[in-house]
Amino acid sequence: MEGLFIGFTALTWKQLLMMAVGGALIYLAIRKEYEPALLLPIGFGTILVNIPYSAVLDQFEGGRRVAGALSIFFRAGILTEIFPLLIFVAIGAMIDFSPLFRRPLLLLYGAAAQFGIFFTMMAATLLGFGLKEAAAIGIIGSADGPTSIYVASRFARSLLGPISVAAYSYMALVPIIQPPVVKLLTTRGERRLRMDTSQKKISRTTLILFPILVTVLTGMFAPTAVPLIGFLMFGNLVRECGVLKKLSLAAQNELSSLVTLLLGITIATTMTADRFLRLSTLLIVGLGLCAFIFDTAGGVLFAKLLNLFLRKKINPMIGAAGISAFPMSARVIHAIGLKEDPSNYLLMHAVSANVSGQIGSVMAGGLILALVH
Amino acid sequence: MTGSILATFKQALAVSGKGMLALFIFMFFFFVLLMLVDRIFPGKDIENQAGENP
Repeated sequence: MEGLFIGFTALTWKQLLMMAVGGALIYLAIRKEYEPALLLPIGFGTILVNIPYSAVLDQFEGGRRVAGALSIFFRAGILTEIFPLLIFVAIGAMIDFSPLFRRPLLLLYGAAAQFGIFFTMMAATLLGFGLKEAAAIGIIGSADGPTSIYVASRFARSLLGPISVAAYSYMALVPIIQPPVVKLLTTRGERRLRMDTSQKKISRTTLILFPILVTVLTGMFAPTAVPLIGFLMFGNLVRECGVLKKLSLAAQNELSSLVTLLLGITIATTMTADRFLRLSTLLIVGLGLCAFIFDTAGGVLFAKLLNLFLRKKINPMIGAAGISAFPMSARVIHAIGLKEDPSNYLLMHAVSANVSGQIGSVMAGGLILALVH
Repeated sequence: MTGSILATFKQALAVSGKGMLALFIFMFFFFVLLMLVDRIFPGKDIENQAGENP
């Protein structure tokens, strides 16, 4: 009979607090619709793993280990890096690069807006994190969940939970984080700047060759980045080849949904009280915000710098859309532009920068993996 | 303690410098690649109206 109450007697206040954290994530996902596809599974998983002796985690019975379902998923999907890579295939199948092809110069904006990654990495080392942990924290600034998870699973598995939650939370908070930074760094005249519209048609051959050539070029210089960029570009090739429509749709819908579901609930494996309730979690949350702010600042300031040399100026706000949070960031920049001038449509330009940010964030993740030892 | 933090910071600084530089170089390569491929396999220009929004 006593065995029936073992959960109640073994429950600690820390586990109770973590269940409340799980409840808060579920609330944010349902009520506020903040990245619900990820935050809801993470939230529910957090409750699952904080129930005392929960059999979803590995438990020891009579001296032998009994594997828990979520622990099995964690070993099979996260430690092997399979889940984030499958998500990259799905994301690749969703990306339409053609807006970027119409404004290829905006590729550089996708590099500038990764500044927050490196700035935050340096800041994290000053707070006492080791280089690999700092790199994993900095990559929150990629504004790209799968890249954050991929790098964190290599460099700082114990921090995977807080890093994932911070990455997805701040991606959902882009409409709150970016506007004040953009307004602080630009004048009203700059925000009202109009840009040329181009509806240049892109050949199918270009759309097909781009993912192949980018993968080969990246691989030749940075082989460690090949899984990240390769799976992303594979998904894109499936989309653009024109002969795999069913597979492309499956990658965009079924694959994306299933893996996101599994990824979210599996990440919760690291959301146990003993791993999450630490000072480092608070620091990671603070550093994640810092990463998004400096990404935005890096993008805007680079756009202003480039404008010194360009004949046809680019609205510097577009630089802020060089982060990977797609299409949220592009919409935010478009909305700020409309507030300043209701007839100035910046959406397509911002989408171009946003797409380049998706390439930039994956490349940044690959480079971090290559450079940090 | 402070010495080890400074040493790690210096490593992070070096990685950041190399990382940002490499990122810009890669993106510039992609830019050149895209221009080349687009020139070899051109699409058709539909319109290009300076200063006018759709």
